[in-house]
Amino acid sequence: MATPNSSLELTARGKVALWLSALAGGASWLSDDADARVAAAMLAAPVVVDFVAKQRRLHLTSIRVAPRTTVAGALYTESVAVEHRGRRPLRHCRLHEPRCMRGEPPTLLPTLRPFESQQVALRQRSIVRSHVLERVFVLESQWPLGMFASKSVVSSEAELITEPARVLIRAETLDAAADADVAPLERSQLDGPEFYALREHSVEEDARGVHALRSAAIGTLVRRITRGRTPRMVGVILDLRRPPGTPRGRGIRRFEWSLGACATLVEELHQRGSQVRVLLVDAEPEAIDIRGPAQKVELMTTLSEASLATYASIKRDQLADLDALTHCYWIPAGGFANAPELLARAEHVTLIEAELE
Amino acid sequence: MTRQDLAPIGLRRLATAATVIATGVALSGLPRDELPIPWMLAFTIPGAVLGGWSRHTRSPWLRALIAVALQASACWGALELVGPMTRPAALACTILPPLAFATTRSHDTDPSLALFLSFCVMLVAVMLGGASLPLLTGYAAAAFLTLHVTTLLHGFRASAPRKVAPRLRAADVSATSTLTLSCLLCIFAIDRTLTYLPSPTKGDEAAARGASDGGGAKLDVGLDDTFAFDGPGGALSELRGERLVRVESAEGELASGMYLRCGFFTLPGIDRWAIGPLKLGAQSEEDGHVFRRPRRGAAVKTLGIDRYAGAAKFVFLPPHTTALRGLEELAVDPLREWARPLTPNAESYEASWQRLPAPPAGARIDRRRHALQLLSLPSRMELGPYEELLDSWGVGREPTQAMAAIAAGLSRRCRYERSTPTGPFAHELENFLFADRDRHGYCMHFASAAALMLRMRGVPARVAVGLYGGQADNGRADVRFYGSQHAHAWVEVPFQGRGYEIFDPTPPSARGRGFVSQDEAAATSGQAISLEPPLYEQASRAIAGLVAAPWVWSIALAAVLLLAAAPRRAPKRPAPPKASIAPKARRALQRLMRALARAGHRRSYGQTLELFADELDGRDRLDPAVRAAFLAYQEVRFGGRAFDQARSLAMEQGIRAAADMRGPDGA
Repeated sequence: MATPNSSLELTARGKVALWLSALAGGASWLSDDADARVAAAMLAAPVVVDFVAKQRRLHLTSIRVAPRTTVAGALYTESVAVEHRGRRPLRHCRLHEPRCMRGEPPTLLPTLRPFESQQVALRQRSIVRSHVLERVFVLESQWPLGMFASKSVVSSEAELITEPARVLIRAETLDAAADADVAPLERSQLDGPEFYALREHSVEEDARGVHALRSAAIGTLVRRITRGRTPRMVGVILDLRRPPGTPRGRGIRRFEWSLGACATLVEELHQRGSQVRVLLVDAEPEAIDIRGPAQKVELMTTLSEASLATYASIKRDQLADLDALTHCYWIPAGGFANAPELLARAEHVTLIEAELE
Repeated sequence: MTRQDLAPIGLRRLATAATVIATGVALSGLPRDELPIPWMLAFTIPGAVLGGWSRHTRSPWLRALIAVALQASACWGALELVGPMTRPAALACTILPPLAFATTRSHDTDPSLALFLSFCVMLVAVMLGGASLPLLTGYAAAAFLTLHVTTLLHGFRASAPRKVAPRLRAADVSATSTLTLSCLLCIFAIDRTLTYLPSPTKGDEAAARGASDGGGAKLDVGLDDTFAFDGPGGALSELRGERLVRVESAEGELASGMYLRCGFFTLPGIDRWAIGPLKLGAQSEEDGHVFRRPRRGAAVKTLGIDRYAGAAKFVFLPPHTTALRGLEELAVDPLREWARPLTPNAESYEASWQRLPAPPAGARIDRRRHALQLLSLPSRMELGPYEELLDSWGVGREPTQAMAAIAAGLSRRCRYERSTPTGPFAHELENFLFADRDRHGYCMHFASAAALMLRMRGVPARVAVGLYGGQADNGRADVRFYGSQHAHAWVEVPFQGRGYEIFDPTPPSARGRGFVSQDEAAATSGQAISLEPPLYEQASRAIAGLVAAPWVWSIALAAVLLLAAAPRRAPKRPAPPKASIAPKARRALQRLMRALARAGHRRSYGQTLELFADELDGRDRLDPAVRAAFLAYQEVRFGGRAFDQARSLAMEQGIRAAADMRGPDGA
């Protein structure tokens, strides 16, 4: 009713009251009985008053929310600014975002006076990996007597990146690349990665790797390079292609797990001080070198938008850069574990397959 | 483990209070004489105990057993204490245990069931006649408050818990009060609107009126079914001096003040009365009809009634008639204590009756007879003047007090005269009651006025017509003759367990006198009085009439609904308040600019103070005092600072410096 993005519906209570009042009204009309008339009036009055006093202009509410990046399934508190642009104050209104508040109760808004902004905290959890440019909220109110429920959909231009949910990757899988690297001849007896060399520190990198004494001595920031566990450059090939002949809609869980594995792997390797070159293999393969947070955000955005691709062979030159690396990870997200490109590099590649229960 | 209730405790308490009040009001509406308090307690306390206790126990079988035991013992106790109750009350009692249970069990979580059941009890109370207008209003207010608070509670429970409990604000209380008041007004408006709708039953009544006026194919019930003040009058009044009835008492002497009813009117009008709808049934016996069982403690007497030709189409009944024997082919309405022969005949019959003492003070009205339309008022009646009269006479809502007060008031205000009342008003009844001088009328005016006034006070009443008094037979005290000169009208009020009680507002000395025509009255009553009522009285009557008119409420209701449903444009954002500049600062700046202009430094149009200062500085003509004055003004204008004494001083110094400045040419 009223506008396309708002509706006014009878609640169960309203339906019962309306039916009873209609019956009593019919009886009073037929019999001209004063008692039936009083009954009909008493039953119909709350419906009429609720209809008249109902807040039908919920769609005149604007909601402002900042861009957000989150991980699928992670709980967070979103702060939104709500402003009502109607004539009358908006009372007892509930705010809900279907995408991010599945299973969460809506939030009861304080009384919104016209053109006064209010900050509201929403407990949210984005379940589905996605990248949306518009947030959609639902405002609902049954005030004052609960006979009608008015509902409006209010959208707000705000980016929400939901990265793939992180997964657990086996330690031997993570260490596979390191083990392939050459270990130093003389190792200390201590556990952990071995010191190899110093190199210039980049501001985007984790400062915990900075060699404090050496940096102070030479006057510029240098960081230690360890060897024996994590090589300097690791390749990750995320194969989004479905095997030829596989019907659509299969392997969604494996696909999501694989994207999560890719995100986890990249984060872990980057944290260990390695640079990661990620090759996303779909119809048009794209390589991203993860050197710092900016590239990481780019990769995560790409992963949040990724979808299964049909099979297409990879050109040789696209894998040439990865061939130069000592070790690569291959994640067959589309389930194509027998890809010819993978088989050709079987000895240099660690295959990460989905571990689903 | 029960889930923690997230709703504010204050709101929950309010919901509890509103639900309990609604239930209490509904219970208090049940008539005490039909449903004595022990019975009411017997049907509510076990349910309430069980409802309160069920929060703490889970075993349904145990609860059921306890419920049965409690209920049985409570009913046994009530039966021992006050004896059995009436059948309608027993019907009402079936709702009371679930109502008590639902009220105590779920008063603050979901009182919908309790509200619905209390509404049912309220309806039963209305039908049994125990509910008055204040009670209905109180119930409606409590019920709406419950609905509103329940909606708020639902909002709290269906949303995420809040760290800070919401505070009750004046605006919320005001909104709730407005809503409750709106609901009460809406009830009235809907009730008035439904009255205004053309009902099929109203059509039947209209047809019945039309048939009686025009002599249609309807059952001819003998007495004209309408009485028009400005018309020919009742059938009896047209019979001049004819002997109509001979009455003989089997028990000996017959009192002179005997009433014999042959008809009645229930549908009121300003100028006319109509009999209203009848619910005709077959006679209970082959040669008569038993109206009711005789009341204990009063002797049943028998009257032998012989009718003459002029009364062949009537059946005359004495007050408190229990049975009628000797007449076949009768049309009978038992509830209205009315009978007529289907075909006119002059057969004799016997009527059994009881002489009951007058109803005591506080006697209860038989509200079941509400359905007989004994409370309706004329649609065009202006109630204001009648209310004033009732208030001035001190007429209350208690039936016997109201009857006595009205009779006393009428006897003081109006006099009996067998002529049409005259005066400035368009209607006879208004002239009878409200003419400034010489307020007079006959029995029908007294009875009409009294019946309408009783109805205005909520006492059901009808106008009965028949014969009164009579003339004793020569030498026989047990026989009386009645003629058309004994035609009379009085009021009848239904009392519980007594049937219709006679209430005669006509002064006793004037009862049962013959009717005198209008022409005859005009010859004796003198000139008509043409005094207009005061203007304020006319205005107040017009306003009262407007408020009482159903169409006003119908139109108002429709207009409100249309306004609510009509789409409206969104309001514009209110313009931000302009930064107010202190007038003193503005005037000081104008003086400064004038001083600078006199010195030859004129600020060009649209030039900001900064640019102007730069220009002066470029010419090496910017005095520090002038710069300080500019800064002081800008702090006030854009910085929101107050134009205090220091800034005022800076501006004054700037003005003085500007006055001492040389022009650009060095002059």
